[in-house]
Amino acid sequence: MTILKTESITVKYGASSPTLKFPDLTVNKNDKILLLGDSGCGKTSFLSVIAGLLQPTSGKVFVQDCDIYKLGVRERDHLRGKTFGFVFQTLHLLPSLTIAQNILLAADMAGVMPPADRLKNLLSSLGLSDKAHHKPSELSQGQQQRAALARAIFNFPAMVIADEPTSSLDDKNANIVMDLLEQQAKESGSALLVATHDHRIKARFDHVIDLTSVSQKEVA
Amino acid sequence: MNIVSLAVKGLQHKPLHTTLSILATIMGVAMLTAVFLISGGISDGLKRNSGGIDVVAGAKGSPLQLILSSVYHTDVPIGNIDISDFDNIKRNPMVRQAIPIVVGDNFKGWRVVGTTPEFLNLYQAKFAEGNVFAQPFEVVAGANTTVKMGEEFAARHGFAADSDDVHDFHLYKVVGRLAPTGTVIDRLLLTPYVSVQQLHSHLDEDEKHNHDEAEEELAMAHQITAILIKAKNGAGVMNLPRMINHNERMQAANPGYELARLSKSFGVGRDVLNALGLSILVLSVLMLFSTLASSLTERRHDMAVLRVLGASPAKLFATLMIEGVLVAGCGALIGIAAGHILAYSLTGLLGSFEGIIVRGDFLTLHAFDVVLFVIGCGAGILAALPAAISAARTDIARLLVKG
Repeated sequence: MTILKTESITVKYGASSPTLKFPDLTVNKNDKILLLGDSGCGKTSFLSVIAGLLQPTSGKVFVQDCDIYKLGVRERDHLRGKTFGFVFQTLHLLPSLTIAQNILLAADMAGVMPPADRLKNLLSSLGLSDKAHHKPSELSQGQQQRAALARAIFNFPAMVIADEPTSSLDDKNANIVMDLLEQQAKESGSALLVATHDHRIKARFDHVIDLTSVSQKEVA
Repeated sequence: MNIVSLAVKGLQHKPLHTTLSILATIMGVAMLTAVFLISGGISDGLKRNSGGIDVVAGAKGSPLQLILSSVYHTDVPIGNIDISDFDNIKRNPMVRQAIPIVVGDNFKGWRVVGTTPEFLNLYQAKFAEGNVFAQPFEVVAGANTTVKMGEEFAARHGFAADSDDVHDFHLYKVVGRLAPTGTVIDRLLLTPYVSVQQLHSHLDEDEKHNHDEAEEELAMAHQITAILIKAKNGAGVMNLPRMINHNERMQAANPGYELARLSKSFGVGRDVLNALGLSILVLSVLMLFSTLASSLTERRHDMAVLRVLGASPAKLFATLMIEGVLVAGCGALIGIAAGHILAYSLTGLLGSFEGIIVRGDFLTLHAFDVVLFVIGCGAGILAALPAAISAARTDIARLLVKG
């Protein structure tokens, strides 16, 4: 089953900036794909286009066979919320909410309703059961990372998108995070798309798209 | 977690700023409420208490003092006029009704007013118990006075409850008590005017008085303090004062005119207080604006995360707007309640408004409260609008790239 398909995506930010051309990408169920590229090669722009957060200059994005830039803003937001789970380089847990509230936010904002025991099971599988009612600031960095991961996969997203999940970590922790990410994506039945410049994790993926070599930059 | 609880969490995250914004709104709204209630209460009260009197005739002096002392019973009387003047006025064809009053004594601070039973009709007073006075030294007590049916008491000269000049050679007896009217009559002790006159003609039995007071009191035996007049028609209202002012011992005062003058002078104070209340309210809007704007700067990433999680721009806009309306609405609500309590307590402290203002009215809801609440919420919307628009326009891609 195809979750995501892009066709001839280009992004151009301003008249004087280069046009970024991205390779066509197809993501199927259970795929594990790595988008590899140096900083500034347009990884995050590509992820934003895929997620329906940035209208491409040209090209089409189909999410579950739906041309998302033909949808209204509200429908696109809703589709993003229930289809994708995001993990960022910095964790972006809301400081005013508890860990449980942060995780539940994913369902509330996407307007979906995972099973009642989902939160309990997820927290327990990530070793956060006793932290449900703590604020993010009361958790260690590793615990916060797991909480952010929990939020990303809470809705059983069709696809987990991770932007530089390991860049700031040492080898040991990078491995721990990647293990968790792969394991949780698998358990939730989600495809996994990781964008990074971190070559250490390249070996984990059978499908690697090197954005540096594939994307062409044309100076306008 | 819906957007209302998200908004509440957002506010709780900056407790000091939130509390200060609410407090400023409370102060502004409370002030406006209290000023409105008190000034409105005074205006209404003064109108209601005038009892439909067109003209007051009394001794020459300040016309305002004449109105305050003989209609509102808050000031001391200027002096007395002769009973013969009352007879003349009563016979005048332009006069529909003329009611004499004699004041000058009190019991426990309640003014003893000598008058005729017609006085009761001015305020549509109904009896709670007993009957109207028929004989001299019988008393009908207003609802707020503390004397009981059948109680006998000696009046004291003047208006001070602790006056040592006691008219104890003749006792008054309470024969009736009135139901509350919300007017000045509630705090008066009413008696036939001849009682007060007779009381003061007994000066020879009272050895404590000195000579000057003795003369004054002897004269009082044939005098009254003022005449409350209802004219037959508009022409009477116009012409009676001219006729009365011709008499060199008397002046006429028009309650409506004097009240307009009075409210003009306290109107300045009211305007100053209103301006102050409005300024505080404007200040609170600015504080709320700065609170929301600075909290949004800190929460830019939160907003981006919410968008990524599926929240629409409209949802972020609504969250910020709810924050603004919650603060302003809470402030306005508490402010309105505080304003009512403030008006109630202030007028309680300034006892002279008793009988003019119905303080109980200050504890009930007015249409003005709803208007103020809407204004308060509007202020919140205004204060939150810039932050809300900015939240809705959050550039997610750029924010998340920068981490």
